[in-house]
Amino acid sequence: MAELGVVRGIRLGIVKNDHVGPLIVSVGEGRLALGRGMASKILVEEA
Amino acid sequence: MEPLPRETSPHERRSNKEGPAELVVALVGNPNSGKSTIFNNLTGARQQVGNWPGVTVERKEGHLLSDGKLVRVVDLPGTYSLGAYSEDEAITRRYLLTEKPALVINIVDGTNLERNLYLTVQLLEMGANVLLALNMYDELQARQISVAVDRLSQLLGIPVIPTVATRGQGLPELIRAAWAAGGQKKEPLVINYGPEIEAEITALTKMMEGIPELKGSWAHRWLAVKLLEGDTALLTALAPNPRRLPPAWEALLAQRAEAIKRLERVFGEDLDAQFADRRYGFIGGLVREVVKRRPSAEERLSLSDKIDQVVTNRFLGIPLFLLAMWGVFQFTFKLGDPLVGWVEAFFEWFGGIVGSGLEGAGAPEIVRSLFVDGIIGGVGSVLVFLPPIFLLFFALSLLEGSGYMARAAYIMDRFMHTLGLHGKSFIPLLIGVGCNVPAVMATRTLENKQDRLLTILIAPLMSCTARLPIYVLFAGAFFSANQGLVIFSLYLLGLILAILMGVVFKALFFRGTTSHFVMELPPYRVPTFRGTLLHMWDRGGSFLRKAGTIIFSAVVLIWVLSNLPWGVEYASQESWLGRIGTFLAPLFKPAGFGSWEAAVALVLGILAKEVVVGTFGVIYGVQEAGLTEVIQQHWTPLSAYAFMAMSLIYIPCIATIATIKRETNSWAWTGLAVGYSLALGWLVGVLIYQVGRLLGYA
Repeated sequence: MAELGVVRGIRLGIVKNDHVGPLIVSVGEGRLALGRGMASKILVEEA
Repeated sequence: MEPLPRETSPHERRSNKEGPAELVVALVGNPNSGKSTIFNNLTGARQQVGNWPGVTVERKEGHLLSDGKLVRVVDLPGTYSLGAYSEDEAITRRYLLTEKPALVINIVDGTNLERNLYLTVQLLEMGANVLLALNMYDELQARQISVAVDRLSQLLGIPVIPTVATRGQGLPELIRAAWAAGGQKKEPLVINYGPEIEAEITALTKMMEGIPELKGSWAHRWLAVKLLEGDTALLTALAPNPRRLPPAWEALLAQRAEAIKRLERVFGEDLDAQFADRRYGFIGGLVREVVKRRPSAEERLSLSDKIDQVVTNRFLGIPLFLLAMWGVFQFTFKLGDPLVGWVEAFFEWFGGIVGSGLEGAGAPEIVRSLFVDGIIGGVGSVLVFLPPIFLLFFALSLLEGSGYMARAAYIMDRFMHTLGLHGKSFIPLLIGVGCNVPAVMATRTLENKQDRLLTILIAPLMSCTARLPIYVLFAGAFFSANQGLVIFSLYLLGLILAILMGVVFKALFFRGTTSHFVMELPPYRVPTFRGTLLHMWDRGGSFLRKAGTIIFSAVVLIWVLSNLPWGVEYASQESWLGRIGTFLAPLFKPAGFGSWEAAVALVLGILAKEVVVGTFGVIYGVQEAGLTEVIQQHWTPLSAYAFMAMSLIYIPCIATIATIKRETNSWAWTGLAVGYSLALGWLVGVLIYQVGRLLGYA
C-alpha cells in the first residue's frame, strides 16, 4: 500500500462507492481500486 | 510497420554486432508511466527481446544512434518500489546493482508526481546516476498544473526533462541530457529517518567500513536502510559466497537483528511504515514547493473520473464490458475474413507452383507429397489464421493501452468474488484469450499463493487464439450466417466453465479467506497507433514462431505417420495415423464425432491446438479452401459445435502444461489441470450432443 501512495496522513478521496463491490479512491492524482475488505482496514478522519 | 523483435539467448544478446555501445542507459519507472512508449520511441525497430536469466520476465534492449555514437537502452520491468517483494522489483534492483548502468533514466508520470517520486527517491538513495523524464507534460498543462522544472531539478540534484512520450516531444532533449549526464558519480540522497533509526544506521555503516568486500560497492547508508527495512537479500547478494558468510558479515546481520528489536520497542508494528512515511514526507515537501495547482483544477472532476462514473457503473459496467468484447470480436472477424481469403489463395497458388516445379524437376511423388500435402498444406492451413489473430491482439492492445483493461478487472471484481478470487485475477484470464502461456505467467502479480493456483487452474479454459482456427473453420462451415455469434458463445462457455470450476476448486482445495484487492487504475489515454502495433507484433510474433517450430514439426510428424507403414495410401485409415484414430474413435462417439479423423486431430492438438486444423488439412488431403467442404460432408452442425466445445476445454497445450509445471513447481497441480480438463471436455461435448439431439437438432 505504501508504494502506491497510501501512507499515514495522506488525503484520500472517494471517487466511487456503490456500497457493494470495490471502491475507487483517489490518492493525489492517482486512482486506486480497493476491495471493500482492504478499504475497511483503512482508518480515516473526515477532513 | 516494425519488423518482429528477435528472440535471443542471453549469450547472443551480449555480443553486440554493432560494436561496443558508448553509453548504457537503463529505463526505470512505475507501470503506466509511459516507459514502454519512451523505449519504443527511442529505439524504434532496433529492439531485442530475451528473458532475464533464470526468470521468464521479458528483458528488452534496444539501440539508438545519436551523432554516430551508439547508445544501448535497457528497458527494466515497471515497478513502484525497489524492494525485493515481487520478481519485477528484484530484477530491476539486481540489474542496477550489478551492471551499474552509466545512467538511469527514471520516467515519472507528471500527473501523479508524489507516487512516482517514491521510486525516484529510492534510486537516489541508492546513489544511482538518475536523469528524470517528467512525462505526460501535456496533461499537466491541460489540467492547469504547473511544475517548476528547474526548481525540481535543483532540489533533487539531477537533470529533469519534460517529455510527452506519446508524441515524441522532449526526446531529443532527453538524449542530449543523457550524453551530458552519463557516467557521472552521484552522492546518494540522504533522507533523515529520525533519531532512533539514524542511530542504528550509523552503527551499521560503521561495521560495514570494516568489511573489505563492501568497499567501493554501493552506498553503505543505503545498504543499512535496506537492512533495517527487513531486506537481507540485498546484502547476501553482495557477499562473495552467499551460502557461507564470513564472520564479519554474520556479525553485521546479528547487529541488524538487535537493531530491529530495539526499534520495534519504540515503533511497534509501525517500523515498516516509518521508512515510507519519511520518504513521502520528503516528497511532500518537494511537491509543495514545485507544483502549483490552480484551485479550479483540484476541484474539477477529471475527464478520467467522469468516464469511470459511466464505465464502472454498477448497472452499466458489465453490459459495457460485454459490448466491448463483442466489438473486439466483430472487429477481428469482419476485418479478418477477407484477409483469410487472400492468405488461402496465396497458399493454394504457392502449393501449385511448388508442386508443378517439383514435378518438372523430376522429383519422386513422395517428395512432392511431403512438400505440397505435408508442409505447405499443413502449415498453410494454420497460417491462414494469422490475420484474425493479429487483429485480436491489436484490439486487446488497444484496450490495455487505453486503460480499460484495469477497469475490466474492477468491474469483474464483484463477480470474481463469487469464485473466491478478486478482480486482479481477471487480467490473467483476459490475457488467456490471447494465449494461455502468458496468462499463466501473468498470475505472478497475485500476491496470494492460493489465488495464484486457482487462477492457474482455470486460466486454460479461456479460449486462446490457438483455438480460434478450429472455430473459424467449423463455424464458417456450418454457421456462416452467425459466425461471430457462435464463436463468441464459445468464449462465453469457456468463461462460464472457468467460473464453475473456480467454485468447485475453491470448495475442494482453497477454503478460507479471500485476499485483498488493491490495484492502480491508470487514467484513460488515447493509445498510440505505433505502441499498439508494437504490442501486437510482440504477442502475435509468438504465434508465428510457434508456427515455425512446433507446428512445422507436428505437420511433418503427421505426414510421416500418414505414410507408414510403407506403401499404404496416404493418410488413409490403414496408416499408423489412421490406426491411432480408429482405436480412440469409439470414445468420442457419444459426443457425435466418432470418426477416426476427429480422434487423430484431437490427439495431435495436444501439441498445439491450432494443429487440429492442420491435421484435418493433412488427413483429408486438401488445402484450406477445400477444407470447409470436406468438413461439411463429415459433420453436422450439432457435432461440429460439440467438437468445438471439446477443443476448447480438453488439455491445455504442451506449452501451457510446461508453463503450469514451472509456475506451480508441482506435478500434482499440473496433473490436475490436465486431468480435469480432459474429463470436463468430454463431459461437455457429450452433453451438448445428447441434449441437442433430444431437442431435435442434428
